[in-house]
Amino acid sequence: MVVRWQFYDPTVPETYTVAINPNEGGSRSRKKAIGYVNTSGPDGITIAFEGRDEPERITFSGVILTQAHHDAFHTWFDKRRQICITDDLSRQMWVYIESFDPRRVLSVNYPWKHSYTCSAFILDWV
Amino acid sequence: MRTLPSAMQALLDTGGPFIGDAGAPHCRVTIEPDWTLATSSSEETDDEAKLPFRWFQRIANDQTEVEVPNVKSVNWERGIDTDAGSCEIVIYNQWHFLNIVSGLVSTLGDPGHFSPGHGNAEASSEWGQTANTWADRLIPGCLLRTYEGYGGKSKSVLEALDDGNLVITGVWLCDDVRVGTDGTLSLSCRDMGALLIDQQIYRPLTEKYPLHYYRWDYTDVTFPGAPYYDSSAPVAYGPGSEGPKFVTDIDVDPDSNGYWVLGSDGGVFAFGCPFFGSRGAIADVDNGPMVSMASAPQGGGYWLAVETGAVFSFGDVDYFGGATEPTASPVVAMAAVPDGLGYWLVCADGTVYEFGSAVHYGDQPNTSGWDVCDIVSTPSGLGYWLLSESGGVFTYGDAAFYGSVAGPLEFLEVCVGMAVAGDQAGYRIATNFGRVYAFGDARLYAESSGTWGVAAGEPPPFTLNDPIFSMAATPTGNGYFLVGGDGGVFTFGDAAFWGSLPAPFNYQIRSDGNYTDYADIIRDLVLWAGWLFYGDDEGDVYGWIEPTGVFSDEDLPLDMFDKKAIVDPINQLRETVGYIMFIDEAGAFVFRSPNLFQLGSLLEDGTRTTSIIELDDRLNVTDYMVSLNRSSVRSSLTIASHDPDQGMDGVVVTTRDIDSPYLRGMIRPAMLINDHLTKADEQATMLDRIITLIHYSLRQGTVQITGHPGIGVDDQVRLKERITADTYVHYVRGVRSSHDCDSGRWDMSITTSWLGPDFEVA
Repeated sequence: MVVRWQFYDPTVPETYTVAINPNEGGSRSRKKAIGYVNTSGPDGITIAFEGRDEPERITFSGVILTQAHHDAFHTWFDKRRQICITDDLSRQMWVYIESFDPRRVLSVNYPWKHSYTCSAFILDWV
Repeated sequence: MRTLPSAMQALLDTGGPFIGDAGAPHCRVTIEPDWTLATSSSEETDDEAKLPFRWFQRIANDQTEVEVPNVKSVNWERGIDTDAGSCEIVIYNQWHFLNIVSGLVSTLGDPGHFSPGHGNAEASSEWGQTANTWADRLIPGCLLRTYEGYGGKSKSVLEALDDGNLVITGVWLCDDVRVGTDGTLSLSCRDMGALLIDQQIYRPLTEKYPLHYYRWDYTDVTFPGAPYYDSSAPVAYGPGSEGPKFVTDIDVDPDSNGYWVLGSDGGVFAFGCPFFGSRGAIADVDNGPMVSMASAPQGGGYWLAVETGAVFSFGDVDYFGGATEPTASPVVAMAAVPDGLGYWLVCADGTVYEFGSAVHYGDQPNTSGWDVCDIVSTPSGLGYWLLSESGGVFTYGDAAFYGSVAGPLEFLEVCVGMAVAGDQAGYRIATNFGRVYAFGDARLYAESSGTWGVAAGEPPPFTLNDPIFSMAATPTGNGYFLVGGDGGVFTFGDAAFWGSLPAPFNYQIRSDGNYTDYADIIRDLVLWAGWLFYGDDEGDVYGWIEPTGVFSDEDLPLDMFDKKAIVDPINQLRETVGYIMFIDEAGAFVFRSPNLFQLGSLLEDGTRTTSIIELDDRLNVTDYMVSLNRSSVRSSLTIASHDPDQGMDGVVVTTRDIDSPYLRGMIRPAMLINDHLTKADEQATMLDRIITLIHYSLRQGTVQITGHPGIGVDDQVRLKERITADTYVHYVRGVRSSHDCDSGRWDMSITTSWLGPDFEVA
């Protein structure tokens, strides 16, 4: 049985079940902020210092076959507030969608076929 | 130099890397929400001598601090060349709610969450903002503390302090808050030196205030025998004498209707009027006591006359001369010409001396055996009256005769003063018993205790603590003052009472060696401004004021303190002794001799360590620039107690010639005139210090290092840098810190003066 991804907006409240799960990505990426400076001596050392971690990010990509799916993603991109995504592994995260990049793929049977990439930064894990 | 937690010191000794839980640069900011500069009680100190004062420190350091979140950057600087350090704190002005609150449908989180006034009624109705605890916290006047270090980011501030990840780097008073649409909130702050700069010493508003600093300690001596002044008793005056001192004259300030009271030692006490100076504490051994004063008719100053005929001017008045050698008979009184351009002196034998615009209209030969005791100018200045102790009045020039004291006076009663009744055709005469006689149109006025009668033979209506020594009329002539030898002032008619000399002032004897060190004066000022000092003797010092060993040879002028920012007199005294002043990282006030004269640095408890921090271009120096300049070099330095070109007697001058390769034979002398330095050995010491400071200023550097909270102002560091061929010990004049919390980069820029190539411990 396929567990569909879900988007949840608590302010309405509203839940959207994704028509087709993303087929790639969906795990959070993390990055530390490491800076470097060299001492002034030619035989000096490199001093590393660490700042705040950059915000975690999630990127997922997949296929859109229907107009409803396409329009729904646009609608959820337009929400200017954090939403909660539950993926097929039942991982829940509060995110703010940064980008939605659909690219049309010509198909005889699916005129609304697109490939897409969506990215968001993660505010919190539930 | 600060003693750092061992783990932090070890990390800095190795040069990093500054990463991870144990080493990533760490910066936190807290606010003390309930801070206020209020008058404290004995709860804060058990030293009664320190009360009452206004405080911002706590002995137990148990203030409530709330952490300020979202700190983006902290940049601060402090040094010995500024009165207060400064700090700029930037925070992200946004709060992210994990639990979505209904109503915030069009926002991501809560922008402006920390803005002053966030959630006020208008904003709430417009954007649905709600007030929170930060609405009135980050505002001008708030008290912030910055803590910086390495590691421990996941801990609370208190935990990180206890574990040695953080040390305090500043206590800051916010001056300015700027909120921008870029999502940041900036706080511009100064360290607690702001208390010295912003608070004014304004006499009407301050109660217990140290506005006068006297050289002498006055010991009350009970005059034996009769309750009245015994003129047959031997008296002696001047420093070193054991004789009594007392008030000799009173005169009125025509501008304010206040008055000055003159002491026989030359002290002038101002009541309701400005103080322009005195001769108190000046060694006038050969001149004798001060006997009279005359206020300038146009206001702004006065003259004092010595028994030998010397005259001293104070304030905005000109000096018109005095006796060049002691007069044959002692001077007993002086009077100013109404045009303010001259004055008369009269001697006990009736001889009158004129100076400036004053015209000599005649002397009064002493044929009756009674000394002359006073001289008063006519309103036109074209004549004068002389008064004898018997009450006889003698007229000269256009002075009119309205009568004399008919007598007989009581036993030991003598006339002591005369005052013209303004434009009235008449005058009044006072005796040492306090009786006043009026002549012509002059009237008698009731004193608060009753009308004073003039019936001869009647006993005085009351017993004075001390005899009356002088009288003065109000500018209108509708009132007058009497002053007793103990400084008590009695007012009549329209004369306003501004005060008397506080008890005890009876017959005071000077005690040598009872001076006020400049450090004590500064301690008074700083206590009043809000600092605490405790545990000095036990070493638990919160702040440090080092004794200067320098005292004032005369009363410090009132205008040094009055209506000034507190930092102004502190700086004046500091510059006199060559000390430095700064506020340290914990907000403590530090006043001491600069750490230039022996190797090492001072720890927080004031002890010296010869172990100094090394800054090495192979380990922690990321940039260095050195500047050599000759702008402060001089070919000779001179210190003089007064301007030598004025031709004054007793000027003390000390000179040092300096040989410097930077001058190449050029002549560039400099002179410092300082009337606090009146001894040759003091001047020599100050010259040595100035020459030392000039030497240290020849080579100044700016070195940039990774953040090192152990380095502070007035420390010494050893710098090793290849390009500048630097291996010298340097003196830290200032430290600037720049800490970016996002990137983690923490840099410090240190300005230094070198201490010479041979600076080693002896």
